[in-house]
Amino acid sequence: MRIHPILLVLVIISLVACTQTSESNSAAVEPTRLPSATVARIQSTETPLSDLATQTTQAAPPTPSQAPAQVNLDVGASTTAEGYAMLGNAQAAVTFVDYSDFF
Amino acid sequence: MLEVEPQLIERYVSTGQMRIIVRPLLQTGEDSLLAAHAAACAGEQQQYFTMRSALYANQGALYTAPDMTQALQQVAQGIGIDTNKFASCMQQETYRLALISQYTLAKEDGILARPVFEINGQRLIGAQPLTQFSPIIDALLKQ
Repeated sequence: MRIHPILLVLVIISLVACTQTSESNSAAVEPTRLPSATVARIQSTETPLSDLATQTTQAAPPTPSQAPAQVNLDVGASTTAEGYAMLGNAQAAVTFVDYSDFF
Repeated sequence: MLEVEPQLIERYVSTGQMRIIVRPLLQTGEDSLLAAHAAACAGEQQQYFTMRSALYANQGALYTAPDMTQALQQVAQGIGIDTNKFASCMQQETYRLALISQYTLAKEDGILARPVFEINGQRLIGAQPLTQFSPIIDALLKQ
């Protein structure tokens, strides 16, 4: 049986292409091996999980600028004869009245 | 309001632009009255707001206490005020009639829910965030 030359060329091209694809896939799957010195350096910078837990619980307290403002509401407050509390400048431009119940 | 109030004070009261008035309502009757009276008595010792916070913190226990007056006395002791002066103020009912009178006026003025806030007469009903109060206050300050 005689094979047509063009068909023969196509078969060869297909075989070459398949071989290259197979090689590239193999390269992607196979893990890259790091030099032993690099592995040692990475391992030395890793933090054990137990240490991470410790770091979480021992987080630094917020600095004064981050902490919420603590306002002593009773500084400058007075109780009126009517039994309600007043806080602030009596001549202030705005009067804010809070009607609330203790229960 | 306990969370918003310190921010309002820091921003507006401490700068002299606004004053805050806390007017207790007596919607649960005698218990409310006693608690409001206790706050007023603590206020005589410059501890009104401290007492108010303590009352809110102990709200459940106070509400079910068999003897409210005694329970309030314990709260007063807990915040470190002079308990003799406090007890005297409570026994004399110094603010009782005034508180009842103020509550009657508030009801007549349509204060039926709680909390209610009035900013230069502009009424807001229900708990509000700072972002709700600030634009109103800022607008009033620009006038």
